[in-house]
Amino acid sequence: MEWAIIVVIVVVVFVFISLTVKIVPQQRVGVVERLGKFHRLLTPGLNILIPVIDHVRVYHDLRIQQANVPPQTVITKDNVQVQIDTIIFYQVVGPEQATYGISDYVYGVRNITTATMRQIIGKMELDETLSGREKISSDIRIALDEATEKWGVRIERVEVIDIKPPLDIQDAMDKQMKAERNKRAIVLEAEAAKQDMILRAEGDKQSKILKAEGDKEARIREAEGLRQAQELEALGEAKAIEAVAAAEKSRIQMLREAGLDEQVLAYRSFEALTEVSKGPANKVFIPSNAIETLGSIGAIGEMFKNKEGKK
Amino acid sequence: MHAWVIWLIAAGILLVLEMMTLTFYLLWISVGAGAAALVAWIAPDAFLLQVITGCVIALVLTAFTKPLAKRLRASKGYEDAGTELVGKQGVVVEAIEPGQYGIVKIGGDTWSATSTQQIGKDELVRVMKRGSSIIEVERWEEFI
Repeated sequence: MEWAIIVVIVVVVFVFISLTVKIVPQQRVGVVERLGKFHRLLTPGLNILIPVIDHVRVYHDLRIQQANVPPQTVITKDNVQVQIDTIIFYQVVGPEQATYGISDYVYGVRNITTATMRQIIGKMELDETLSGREKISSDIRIALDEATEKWGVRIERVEVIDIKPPLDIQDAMDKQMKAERNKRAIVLEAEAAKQDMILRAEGDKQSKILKAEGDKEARIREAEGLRQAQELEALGEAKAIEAVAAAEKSRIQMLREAGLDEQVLAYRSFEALTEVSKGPANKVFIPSNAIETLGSIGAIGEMFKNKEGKK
Repeated sequence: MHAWVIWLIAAGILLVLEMMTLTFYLLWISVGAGAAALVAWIAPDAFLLQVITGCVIALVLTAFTKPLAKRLRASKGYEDAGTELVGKQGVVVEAIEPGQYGIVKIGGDTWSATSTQQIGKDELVRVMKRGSSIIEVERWEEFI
């Protein structure tokens, strides 16, 4: 009998104390109801409850949660059925609303996301859906926030993991892609050929111009050389003539200074005659008028005298 | 085996369990078991007395948890990025018109936002209030 009492007391105390002291870990929150009505939130740390009267209805995890949505068939604006695979990131921000506003918020989040996704994709063409993930997530934002405001749940983001068009469409897209690449290759080839030709022509042109320029310069240089040579030659000749004339002049001057007169001239001419007669030819013909010429030398002497007289 | 030895063993097991699970109430029960062991050492035959002493000690200690909890509560814990959104600056990504929701980017997150004014794209805003998923904003300049 005593044993039964001891066991009952121990069990009651155990349960009592375990209901009183509650440790809530970080980023979790408990919703406390006092006699069935919402009373307060259990925040992280050590908490004390009044057993029996207080009751923890549910614990919420406040971290960002992920929910995979199984692939959904969605019809785009241009009537293509695509399989769309999404992942939802959400977070409980209002534990009270998440408890009392909606019965199962995970299910709710999943459903509202697929419904909204369907609506948004239905307004887009296939090509837009494939490239416009950013647009999808921004469009989905407002629609979802409006719905989930009352649930105490915030949908952080909805990511489209995969969009799968039907096989025949995918085939056509592959073909289109191939054709596009082929086109690019051909265009590139043509462009390369064009550039090749242009470059060659340009090279040819430049080489010809350079050659012509070289020729021109060579000829100019040659002509310049010739001109300089001729000029120098002419200059030399002129100098030589000048020198000869100067020498003649100085000779005549010196002769005059030495007192050149008729007799000397006559004597010199006779000397010259004898020199001539001493030459290899032993006969000298003196034309008869040469004598007259010699006589006229005297007249020249007369003229010199007259000139001196005038001075 | 003496009763007090059994009590001590119970106290030790409870202490180990407490260290492993960190529930806190097992600690009080362990201390209660220790007190019961003390009583058992003095009066080895009064089993009921030992149990009642142990239980009362555990209950009293539990009652003293409240001030301890209050003291521990003052220490700072992890702060969620979302909780201190009010007063932060954001950039409007999609224009906000009265009665309709726009999108505001705060840090790396996008939020649906309402406002009493009309705020155009790329304008700076300040967060006034935060609902669970929709925030209320006002133009940034009006606070300077």
